[in-house]
Amino acid sequence: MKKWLVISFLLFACLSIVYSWTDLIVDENLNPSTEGFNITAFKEGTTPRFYIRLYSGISTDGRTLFEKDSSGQDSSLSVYDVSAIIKNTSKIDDALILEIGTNYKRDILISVTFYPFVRVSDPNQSTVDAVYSFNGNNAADKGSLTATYRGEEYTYSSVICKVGGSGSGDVTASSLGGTTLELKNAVSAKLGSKNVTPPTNGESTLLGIGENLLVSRCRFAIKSINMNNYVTDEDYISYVALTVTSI
Amino acid sequence: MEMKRILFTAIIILCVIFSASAYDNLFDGSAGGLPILGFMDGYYMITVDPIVNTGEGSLDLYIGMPFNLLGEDVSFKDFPLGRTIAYWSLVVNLKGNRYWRVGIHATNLKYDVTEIGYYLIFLTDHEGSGDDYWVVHSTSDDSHYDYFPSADGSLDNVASINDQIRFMLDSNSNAVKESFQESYDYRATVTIILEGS
Repeated sequence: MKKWLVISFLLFACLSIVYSWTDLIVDENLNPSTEGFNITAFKEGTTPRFYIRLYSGISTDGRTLFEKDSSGQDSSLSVYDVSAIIKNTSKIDDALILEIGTNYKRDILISVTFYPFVRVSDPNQSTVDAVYSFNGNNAADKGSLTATYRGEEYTYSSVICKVGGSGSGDVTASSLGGTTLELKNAVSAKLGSKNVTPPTNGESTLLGIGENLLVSRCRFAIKSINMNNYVTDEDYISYVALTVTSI
Repeated sequence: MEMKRILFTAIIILCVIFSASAYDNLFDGSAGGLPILGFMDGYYMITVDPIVNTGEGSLDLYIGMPFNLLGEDVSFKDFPLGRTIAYWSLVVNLKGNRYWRVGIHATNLKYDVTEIGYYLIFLTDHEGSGDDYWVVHSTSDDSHYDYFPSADGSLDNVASINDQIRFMLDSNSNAVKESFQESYDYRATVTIILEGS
């Protein structure tokens, strides 16, 4: 019995020494620790330039469906067509997220026209009406109106989403064409309500980011689809047309 | 007599309890704390927290990103002035003759064909050197790193917590700044690496 106790003790001691030695070896080299960050900046402009991105998913990591930039153009009026492919029923609840960025210090009007879904395998005959909701009674992560600066979301009260004068509601995309949803960036209202404190160190007043709408984001959730015409496990495609106008 | 003594003692005890309660109520809701930061030999870490400017008034307009390239707060001045865009922490405590260094790589701000050079000022505050700062200039060379401290070996250990990283443009004339392309999308990437043996 004693013999086994001694053997166990020696084994334990040997393992401890080996473990410490290994630990020392590992500790000899400092594993490089790396960190980093991105710098984002803008130059405000008098020439309106716009940026539109539409993607699926609740988070910003969602799949990008469309991205368009009005680089180098006079975008007083720009029309973009985007398409969103919704695959089978599991995708119905995914939100379509629309991001609009501009360095233009004036109001812009963005019209969004939704079109009904059609079946990819039979686009000419199978039309499915879809209802998009926004800023409505759904969960906050669907249809809510938010804005973001480079990934950080917050409530942007000056952006108005409206359908026919209403601040919230449903948009019905019918087979007759589509419904227009207006997103208005009321920059002037933002300026009026903003409390800008003049600097005391002699520097010129820096225009706040709030006065330059960099990125605004509206989310649109597909609220319902007429299941009578919907075939499970088929791919459906819908179109969203965006019109950007400076006003 | 004995009864009186007991009663008197009870009254005294009750008064003490009520006084204590009143005292406690007076400071009800008050709480304090002291953060304690500790580390052991052989410990090292580096962290960076970029500051997001929401423009909603909750944050100082003179800190964070994104920022306006024409803003006075990012124009060239004496070091270590500039706009605070991030916080960083550096803790190194190595034993023996081991050495360490921090390498910093910052790409130029880019949009389309426009590249803009700038300085980053890393403020440090640690025992031995006190308030200090490291200045890095951006580069278009992907492999270029600026190292701090510049000399290897027998360096002071550092515990510099939540110090500022500031941004400052090169010394450009107003005409040059006006010639920058208008955009909302100027971007640069900063990489910081702590290495040693």
